[in-house]
Amino acid sequence: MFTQQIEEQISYLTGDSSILFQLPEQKVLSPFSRKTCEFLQELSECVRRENAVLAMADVAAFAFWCRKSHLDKMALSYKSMAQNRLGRGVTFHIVPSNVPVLFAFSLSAALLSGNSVVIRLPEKSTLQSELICRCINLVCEKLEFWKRRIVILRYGHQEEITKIISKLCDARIIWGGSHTIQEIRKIPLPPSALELTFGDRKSAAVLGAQAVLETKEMNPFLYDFYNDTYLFDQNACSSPRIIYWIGDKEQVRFARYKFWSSFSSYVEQHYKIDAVTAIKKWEQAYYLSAIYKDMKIIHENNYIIRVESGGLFPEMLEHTVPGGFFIEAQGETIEGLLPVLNRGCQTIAAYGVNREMLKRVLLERKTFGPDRIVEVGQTLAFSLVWDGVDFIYALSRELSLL
Amino acid sequence: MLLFDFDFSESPYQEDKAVKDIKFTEKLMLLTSFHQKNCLYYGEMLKAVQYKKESISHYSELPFLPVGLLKRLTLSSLPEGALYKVASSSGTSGTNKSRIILDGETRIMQQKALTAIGGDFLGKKRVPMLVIDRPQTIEYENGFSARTAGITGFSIFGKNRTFALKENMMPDYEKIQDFLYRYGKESFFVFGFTFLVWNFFEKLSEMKEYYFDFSNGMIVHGGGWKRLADKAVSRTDFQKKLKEIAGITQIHDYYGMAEQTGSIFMECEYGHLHCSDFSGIMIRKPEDFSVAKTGEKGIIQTMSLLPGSYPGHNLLTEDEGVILGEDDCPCQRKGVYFQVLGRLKQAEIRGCSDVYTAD
Repeated sequence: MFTQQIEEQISYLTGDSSILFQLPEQKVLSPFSRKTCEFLQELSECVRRENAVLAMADVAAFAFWCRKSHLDKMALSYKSMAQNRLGRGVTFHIVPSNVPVLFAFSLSAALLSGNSVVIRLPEKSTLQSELICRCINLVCEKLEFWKRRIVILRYGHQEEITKIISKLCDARIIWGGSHTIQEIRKIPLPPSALELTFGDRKSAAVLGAQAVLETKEMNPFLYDFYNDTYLFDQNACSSPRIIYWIGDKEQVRFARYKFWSSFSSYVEQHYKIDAVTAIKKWEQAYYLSAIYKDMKIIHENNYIIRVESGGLFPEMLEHTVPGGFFIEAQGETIEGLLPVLNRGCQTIAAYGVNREMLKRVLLERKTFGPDRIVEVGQTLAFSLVWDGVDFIYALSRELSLL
Repeated sequence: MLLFDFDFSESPYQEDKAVKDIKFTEKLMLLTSFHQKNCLYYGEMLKAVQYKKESISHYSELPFLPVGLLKRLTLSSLPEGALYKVASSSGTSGTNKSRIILDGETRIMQQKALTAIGGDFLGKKRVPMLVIDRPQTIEYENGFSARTAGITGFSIFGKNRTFALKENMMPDYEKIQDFLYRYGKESFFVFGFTFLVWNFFEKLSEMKEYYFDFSNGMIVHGGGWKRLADKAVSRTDFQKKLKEIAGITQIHDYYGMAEQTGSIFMECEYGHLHCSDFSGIMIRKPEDFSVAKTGEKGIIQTMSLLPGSYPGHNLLTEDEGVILGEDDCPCQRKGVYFQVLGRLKQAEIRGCSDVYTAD
């Protein structure tokens, strides 16, 4: 149990300390068990109702993700594996502050694998997390089975608390920057427990010049690209930072002009630029020009700063900054993009490029990154396979018969 | 490398807008071309923005570098084998420090410009000087910090230089009393970094049984308000408290940075910071870096004609400021006068990268 002193540092959004400490006694479930799907469906409906007025887009996306038909579809794809598997037990999740609904996806993935859940939320409360936690509590009142399986709490930087909870868990899931992960990794886990870490990654986009030139109605494309980038200040792991154009030089020149001139006015209408971000973008553009040579800085104003490079080099993804900063390169094949497809690369967003073919090339070339290829507009979509890890497999264990 | 001859014997606040526009444009363009040719990194940067000097008609159109670059790149325009010293920024935020390459000529120019600028406020006659710092700050030549440079530079205006703090940064009360007893009846000069000056007078005020009479003293302080802003001490609080505690009425702030040689912007008796004939200020808007109007807040850009050994003549700071006017300050000094509003604050960035540690 926690001492009185520690207890005072914690605020519980769901559950309490007595529930927390009995979590290891809770039975595990099979992946996609009927009970779990029922709980998430209820949660989906409750969140949808509660969000009706505020209509927060990220909250709506979560409710949509765990709606019945999508759960059924996911369950189907895990159908045969689920027969031989069970959850691991207690999962302990640590999530960052700036993607407010991430915790709900992390929770759902752990529940669907058959586990109980402890989530540490960041200290700063958000409308999104308040709403979803309220719904979890409402559903738990209705489906009492779940009351003793979910604990959501907040506490400051008390390593002591993380230490105690870590002792209880069978799996620890850390979302956050490299520093956070390193710090939390120092805290021991029980010998049989495993750890999943989802650290800092960066992403690129591949745009087909011909497809862009052939696009008659640009707005849906611009809307999608904006959501991939500026919606989260181009600071989500999956936000494209390097833009690689496929096509011959002439084609690419026209396509780039068409794309950036229309995107530029779209961004100006929707984004608010702050001074420090603008200064940092310029600093980075000059820095790159100095160290790589033969770069070209392109800008109309400070909303979009692009650095055009003759080629891409391995550490270039690391040399980008958030808030509307792009390194651009061009080639007739995907070959020119390969140098940046290393461990730090998470997602490729593609437009006007055959994703199947792209996947085949990357498998054949055996690059260290990316872990996913999505259509432009889908970079933020959550999936049970994340950073190359299948949650359902990772958070359950197989009972094998030999 | 000395590009220009300056006349340091006259007041450095003489050029009005019409004269400055022409002279400053011509000289800053020369500096830009000079560094473009001699500093490899700078040359690449100007190439990247396709700088063409033919298209420049006013100095406001010249390229400027974000000051943070000087923390990440060592920029030098000196020929190989030339002698130089490295100055570094104070770096209070604990991040990397700038490395500023200064050759002998640039250092001499810096000192001469400071003499001309400071002399305009402090007079030509040297008066006794009390430094609000410990003697070790200039003895331990730990490189060449902004504090060291400030004390050494301003020492030309003083004699009988006395350090008011002990090695442990606590006031040396006996020494201070002795200083005031000897020199306090006539004018004297007090110099120090803003937060040290504030801490110092706070400490003095705790000594209830003594009164320290600084009424004949003139204080020059600089180094920024960040630490005082953290303690919620405003400019007005600062002035009020110093008057209350020690009877000081003549207080001059100055704005400047280690990264730009020659940019020392002194505060006049009307509370305005002034550009000298060697330096310039512009305020830029965040959306597109276009020039803001007088009275409009924005990002401070500083320019100086002195940096000959490195391309630091045209820098974009991370400070917020506002131009108050030009050529018409009641103190009679010509040139642009302005106010610094403090460090620009980074808006909260969304997204998942390394945010947990910051919360």
